[in-house]
Amino acid sequence: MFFITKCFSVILLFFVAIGCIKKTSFREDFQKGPLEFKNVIAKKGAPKSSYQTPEKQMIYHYDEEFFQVVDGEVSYYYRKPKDNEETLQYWMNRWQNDVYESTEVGKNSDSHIPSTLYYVNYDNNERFIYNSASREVLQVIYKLNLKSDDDEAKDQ
Amino acid sequence: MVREQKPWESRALTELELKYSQIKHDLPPATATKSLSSISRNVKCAKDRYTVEEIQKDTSRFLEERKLLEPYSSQDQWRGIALQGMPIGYVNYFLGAEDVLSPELDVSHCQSPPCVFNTIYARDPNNIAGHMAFLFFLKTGYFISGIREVPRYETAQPLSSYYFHDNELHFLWEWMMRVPDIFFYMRKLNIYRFAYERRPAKFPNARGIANADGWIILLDGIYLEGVFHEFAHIFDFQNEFSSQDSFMNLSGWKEVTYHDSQGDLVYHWEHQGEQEGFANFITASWNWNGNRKRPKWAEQNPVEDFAYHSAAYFERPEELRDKTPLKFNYFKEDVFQDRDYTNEGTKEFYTSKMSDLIESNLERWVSHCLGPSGSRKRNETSIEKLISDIGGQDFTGHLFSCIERLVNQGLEKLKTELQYNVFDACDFFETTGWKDDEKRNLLVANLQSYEKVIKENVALNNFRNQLDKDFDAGDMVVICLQEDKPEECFYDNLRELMEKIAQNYTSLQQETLESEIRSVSYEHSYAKSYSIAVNRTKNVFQIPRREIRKAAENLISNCSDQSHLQIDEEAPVYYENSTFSFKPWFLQCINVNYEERLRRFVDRKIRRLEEFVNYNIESPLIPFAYEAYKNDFLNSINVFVNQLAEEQSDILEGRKNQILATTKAHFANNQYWQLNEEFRDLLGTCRAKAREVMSGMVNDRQYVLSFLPSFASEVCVDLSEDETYKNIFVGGQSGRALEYFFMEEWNEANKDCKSRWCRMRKIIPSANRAMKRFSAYQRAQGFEGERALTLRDLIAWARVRVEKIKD
Repeated sequence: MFFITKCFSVILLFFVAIGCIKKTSFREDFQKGPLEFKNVIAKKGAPKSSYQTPEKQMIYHYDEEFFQVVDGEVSYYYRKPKDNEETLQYWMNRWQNDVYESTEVGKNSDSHIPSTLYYVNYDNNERFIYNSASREVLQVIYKLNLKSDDDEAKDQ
Repeated sequence: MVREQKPWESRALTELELKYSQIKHDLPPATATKSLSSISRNVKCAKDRYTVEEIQKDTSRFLEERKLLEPYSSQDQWRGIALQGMPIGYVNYFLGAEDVLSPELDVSHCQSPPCVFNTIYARDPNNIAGHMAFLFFLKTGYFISGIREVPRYETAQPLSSYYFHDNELHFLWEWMMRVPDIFFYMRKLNIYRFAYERRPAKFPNARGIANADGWIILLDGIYLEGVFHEFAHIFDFQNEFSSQDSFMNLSGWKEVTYHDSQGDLVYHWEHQGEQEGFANFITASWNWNGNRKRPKWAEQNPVEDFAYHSAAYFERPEELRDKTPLKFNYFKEDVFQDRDYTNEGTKEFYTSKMSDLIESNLERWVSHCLGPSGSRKRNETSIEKLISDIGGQDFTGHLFSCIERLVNQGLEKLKTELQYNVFDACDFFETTGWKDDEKRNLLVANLQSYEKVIKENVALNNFRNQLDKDFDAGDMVVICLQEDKPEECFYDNLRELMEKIAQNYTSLQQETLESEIRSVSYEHSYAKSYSIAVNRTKNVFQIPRREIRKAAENLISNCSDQSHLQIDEEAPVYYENSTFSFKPWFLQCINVNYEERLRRFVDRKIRRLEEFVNYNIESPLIPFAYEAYKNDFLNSINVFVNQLAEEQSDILEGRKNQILATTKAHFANNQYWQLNEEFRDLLGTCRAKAREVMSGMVNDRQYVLSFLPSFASEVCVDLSEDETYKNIFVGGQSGRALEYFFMEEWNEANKDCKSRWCRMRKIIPSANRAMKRFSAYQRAQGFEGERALTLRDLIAWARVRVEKIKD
């Protein structure tokens, strides 16, 4: 009886682990910790273009992705959606048990097409931008160099 | 600019998109022109055709062309309207408009979409609104709403608040008439009207809203260019123009995304459209809300940029071209397939129409003006002179004048059609039009360009005429159907014939000849289908053996059952050299009946053949196929005839044997009859010979009198056999009676005769009397048959006999 229970537990843990790994492996490798932009350059080469925000943060563009860099470290990673990620349904299905919210971005009172929405998942920190007019996910976003939300709140 | 692959060319279409693109591709192209005969005399210009009558004409034409007049077969109902028997076009509208037409009103009294729409719009049944809404659906695939709701917004107002105004419906109609058909059937699309005097809180200034879910909402203050703008959004959503680098790079659009120091996402678009080398934006030329600063609509993002400039491409093309030529060229080359709505572009468009007409009809006009009876050589000479004359600016020649007259006639007709069908055509012809020198220059240019082509095409026309005369497709197919590979046989035979004819037309290029051969080679593909069909035909027309036997038996029975023959022994046979054969009258009867039955059989089978051909072969090929089938059918008839003849022979043989089994002494008479026939034949020969001899002695009595010995001495009558013939001729019970009668009468008559000539003179009257007695005797015996001898034969026989009598 003990042996059976033990086997069952092992099997259960095995599937839980696979689930976690699966979820974790969705993230890019460099999300596992702070990422210096020089390491990105070392891996991907020089960026194609750059852009400085009004707050003097740098945005470095590659073909299908770009990095927001503060003090040499990547703070946000942006990329184009892949395959099914282009659809809202994919994300809603993926996030069905998570806490998330959406806000309207790029709002312009003169615009008369449906707005662009920013979805943020607070459980796994996945984010994306969705254009409700064309019904497409435009960008997938990851916040890097994570402090915990509590730490961030403290900082503020 | 290198044209990049359009997104719709590579990505997989969604199911709805696929369905609509299929509808679009499967539909026959909306006819660009309407035939002159149906053009209303009252309406000349397309832009004036917003009337019930004209819209109904277009509706009828669309329904007919797209085969939407077929009656709906199911016994369904839609809102109380029985759909069975209605044109499918109507049913498509009803079912598709379910979500956009208010269910609040009873439309069960209606029998057409216009009636339904007008009922919902509280208008009279024949109001233009309903007709326009239905035509709009037929032409574009989109639905104009009449419902108390709009997607995603509150709908608390009365239904009448959501009605489109008349001018708004006219905007939609004008948009439909002016845009190219790439805007139609993009996807399922509903056009809604926001409630009067209300606006969505999110878009307080909007005049229209478009959504990729498949709807457009028009609001108060919508104007024509706004309609173009909203549809352009849908066009963009479907084809993703605005997200392509080829468009975005025009204005240097960049999507700006970052998180600010607060962690909030900053998202907007930036452009460099005011910088050198980029496509500038043109400002709005309209101004609503009075003194409000004009918004730079197109500068918000690429989506608005595309829609705004797309609408301007139609409504303000010169301004677009002048202020932002890069964008203008983009729309012209990459989006609207070089159709340009500027004055220059419009002129180019109509000039191309003129050019197309001249190009496509030039050979025909030249051939017509050369005349049908001209020889090949003379025609070539005429064309050379024509080219030489126009090269020297001499336009007075007969040939050129004739061609130019035909050109002008054709252009006049084309102009009328264009004015009726193309929205801006009347404006063009009233302001610019086709100038005479332009027409002439175009004609001259075409003539010069196509000198060789003209010569070749004149030769080609003559070649085709010759081929038509010499080539019988039906015969060739029938011949080739017998081959193992009929299509190869057909193709090879045809090719051989065409190459032979082409030797007389040296102006024909080899490529042209090859093209001609290919163009007619389609027929050989039908030879294969024919061979399959012929086998099926044979099965259709085969006749079971038992039917043939039965038919033969019926024929025999009918002919045997003659009313004047009561006894089997008088069966229609005769005896010949120990064999029996059928008498002529019997066979004649069979033949008559046989032919009649065969004719009826053939008629029945021909009718079946025609039915078979009509239902199995495409209509243009019916005569062609019929020839092929008919020959094979006739062969099958021959087979039937032969089989029937065989059956008849068998049955007749059997009947003969049956008769033979019951024969009595009467057959001895039949032997007599048969020998009698031979004697008749012989006498006939002698008569012919006598006529031949006598023909040279008509007026010479002496020679006539001397004829008899000559007649008698001929081989025609073998006197050594005379006794035999006499005995046989008059032999038999009835035959001897004739001799007896004759001798009795003649002896009585000769009693006082002293000379041969006296006896000769007694022959005829004696023979007459003997024949009468013999006939009476035959009737008394109940034996009526063919008379063995005519009176003349008897006389001749007697005369011969007299000669042997010595005085």
